[in-house]
Amino acid sequence: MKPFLCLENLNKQFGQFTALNDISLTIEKGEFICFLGPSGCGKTTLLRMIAGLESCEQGHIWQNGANITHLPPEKRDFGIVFQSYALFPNLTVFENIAIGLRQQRASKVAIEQQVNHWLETIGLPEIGDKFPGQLSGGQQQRVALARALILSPGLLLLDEPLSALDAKVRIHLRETIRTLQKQLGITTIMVTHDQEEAMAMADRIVVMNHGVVEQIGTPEAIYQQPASRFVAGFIGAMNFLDLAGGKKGQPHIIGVRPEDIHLTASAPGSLQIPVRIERTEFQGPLLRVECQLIDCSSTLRADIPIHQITTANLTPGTETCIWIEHRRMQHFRQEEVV
Amino acid sequence: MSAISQTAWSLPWLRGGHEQWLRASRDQWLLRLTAAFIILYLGITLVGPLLSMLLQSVVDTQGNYVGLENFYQYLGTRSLRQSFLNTMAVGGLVTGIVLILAFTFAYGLTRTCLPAKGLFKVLGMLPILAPSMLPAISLIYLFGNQGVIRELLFDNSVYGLPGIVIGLVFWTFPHAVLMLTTALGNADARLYEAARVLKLSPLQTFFTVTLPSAKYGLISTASVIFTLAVTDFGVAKVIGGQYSVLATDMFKQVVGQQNFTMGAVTSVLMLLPAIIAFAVDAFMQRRQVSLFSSRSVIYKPKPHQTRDALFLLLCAVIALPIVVIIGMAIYGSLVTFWPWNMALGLNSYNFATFNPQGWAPYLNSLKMAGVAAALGSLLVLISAYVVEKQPQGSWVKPVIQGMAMIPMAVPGLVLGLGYIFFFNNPDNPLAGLYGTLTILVLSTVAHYYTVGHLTAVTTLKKLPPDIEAVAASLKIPHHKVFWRVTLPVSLPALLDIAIYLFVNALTTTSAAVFLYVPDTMLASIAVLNMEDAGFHGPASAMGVLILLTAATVKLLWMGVGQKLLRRTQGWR
Repeated sequence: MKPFLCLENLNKQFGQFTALNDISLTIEKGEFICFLGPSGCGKTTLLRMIAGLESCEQGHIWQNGANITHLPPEKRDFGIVFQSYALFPNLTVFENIAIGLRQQRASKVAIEQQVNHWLETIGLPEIGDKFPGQLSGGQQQRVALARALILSPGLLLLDEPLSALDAKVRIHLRETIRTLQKQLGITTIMVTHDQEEAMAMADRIVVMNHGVVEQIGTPEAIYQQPASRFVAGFIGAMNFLDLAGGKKGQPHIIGVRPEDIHLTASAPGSLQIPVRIERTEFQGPLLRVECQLIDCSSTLRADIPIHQITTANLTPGTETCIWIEHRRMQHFRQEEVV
Repeated sequence: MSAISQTAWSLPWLRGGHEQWLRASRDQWLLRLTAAFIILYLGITLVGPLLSMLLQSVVDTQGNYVGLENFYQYLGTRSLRQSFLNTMAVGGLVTGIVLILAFTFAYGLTRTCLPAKGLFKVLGMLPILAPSMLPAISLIYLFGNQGVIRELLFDNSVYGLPGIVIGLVFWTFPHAVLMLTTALGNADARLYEAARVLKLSPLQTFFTVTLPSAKYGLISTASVIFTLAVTDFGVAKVIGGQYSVLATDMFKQVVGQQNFTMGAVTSVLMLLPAIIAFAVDAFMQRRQVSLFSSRSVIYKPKPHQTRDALFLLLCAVIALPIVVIIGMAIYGSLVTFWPWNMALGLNSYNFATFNPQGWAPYLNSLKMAGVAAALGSLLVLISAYVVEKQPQGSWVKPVIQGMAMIPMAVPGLVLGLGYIFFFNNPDNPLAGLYGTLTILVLSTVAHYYTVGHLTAVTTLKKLPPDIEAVAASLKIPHHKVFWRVTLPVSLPALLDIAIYLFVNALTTTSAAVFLYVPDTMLASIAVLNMEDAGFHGPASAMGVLILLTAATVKLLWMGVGQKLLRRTQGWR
């Protein structure tokens, strides 16, 4: 069984600027994939190449067994949703969703039935007669989603669909998208720069930086075993400790997440490090502690669950010790640190 | 090296990717063909004529290349050198006076609670609807040798510099008011609150907040007014007397002496200040940072008795001459035979008595303006669309955009002369257009292209950028999206552009004065010819007719047009 979507050695140059550098990737049918990375990393370019909106000079794209590398967008099989909603402003919601079916010359009854079905599905059955300008951002994006799905495409492309929305609407809509995607079993690619969003939604995340793929994996794998210092720093927070000569003189860097730092020896074989407390910050469920290593100049951040702080003296200036479990430490080679 | 690779990248066939270039979709081919058509169109109606004119300025009468010889000869002639200096003097004076008057007027409209704002707005706009000869004719009625109030000049003659300057101030005033109202209209109220908190006096506030935020608007306005003043022909032709300027020189050389080479040289000299003004403005605009963001709070003036009364007085004083000049023109057109038979009547409107074409020029003007408005606005919108929809890095975008900006700096007379050289050339397969109404339509659309282009681009930018991509995913061809979405959404802007073209086509003389033949004479040219023949009343009457037509169209647009839009633009 061949994968549903297959990208082979894709490259993209914009003048002197390399937007994508030798990208290869396979996506299985029904998967939810997130392209995650900082702005300018090439994730949107890659999505646009899959849609046929950017030309592809090097490499190949296969979808459903066919080579689609040079097909124009209208000959490909996908639905797309943009951050800007891109609804047709002068058409009603009903017409926005129906326009694809009208182009296919579907019968009036079928259009009526289909559009109403989709309006129900996105939870907005009453708004068919409204214009996009009369809707909230979240509502507009739902309509855009219905419009993208009404022709039952094999592939759904989402270009930062939630970035323009308020935090609460965003979380609500991401659940809607995920549920709908599972229900339909549609292969989906979403571009985002929000790591929390990617971890909450994706089956697999493709972490990109400077036009290359840094790591591909499930959210858990990427969080727990980041392949590079970039990934470690981009997904969640991580402290980097330069313990030069710590072991057999080989310089290397240790990465540890703030929540893996403890104020007591929680497990046998933990690394104990003497520190001075610099500053504390109350965050509700946890206390953020900034401390300075006593032997060297590095500082690190620890997130301590509030219920564990009972007796410890954390006034700034206090000298104390922290513990890190060996299995929670990530090791990075020195040259990765720029 | 990097320049070469840049070009190679934007011309895919040079990079060996021509197969891919050819493999483009139908939508892309349609876009390419449209772009090619627009480039060809602007090449023929704008760039070609201008190049012919430039070429003509460096050859002798036999067509041999002589370099800058013609320019030395020109500058060596004392009288011609004088016209250049005269023109600059006119430009400088008009720009200075108009800036002061228009700034005061626009300040009154935007920053005070002046009563009857609507009336002042209308009065301020009126002169734009008249051909530039109209104020000059009116000034002759007022201050000429038989003028009604010539005593006010204390034996000074209105003919020459004073008349030209007053006429041009009147005629360019609306342009400045329009631009400065926009510049002063977008004020951030928070800055004024900050100034109050810092206890700045009103005068200090004016110099630290108001003036800096209007600085770029003022520079743009100065550039536009200066260009209009040094290139206008109508006012100087009617009231210039012995005071020669470049525009009248050029007319004399081309129409009077048939000396096309010297006409071309004068063109270049007229083009220079206009290009400099344009370049200064473009340079300054690049340094402009928008002080007005989406988070700004629009400044709304609060009533203030002394200030409002003062500005009522100032604006009334500024508006009074507009009323007097237009009123005088209308009165003059109704007087049977000035100054001997002062009985009122419509005698002057019986045009057949005064020129062989009778009412035909007026009908020609309507036809020409109608076609120019309809075709021009659609063309402008399509070309702006082509520019906006170009793929990233395409060379087509800067080419069309660059061409669209040229008319801003090119005086109508210069363009008209270029048309003679380009279309009156037997080798040009389009030579058949010479002497038709079509060529007048083409030159008018080309002459007023820039403003329409900028309006269209601004409108298209308001549409979501990705609707074409969405359409492609829904298998809807781009041209269908254009008709179904882009065009309806741009309808108000399209109509604005059409009205702008219509009004300008009615009032313009500059390019047309070289391109008309008796059969295609326009109303504005008829004004000029009848005035030249000493028929002041009929000339005034035709001018008033143009003004009334333009005003009617504007009013119709404001009334009926807006009502129609409200029905089709319900989604807004």
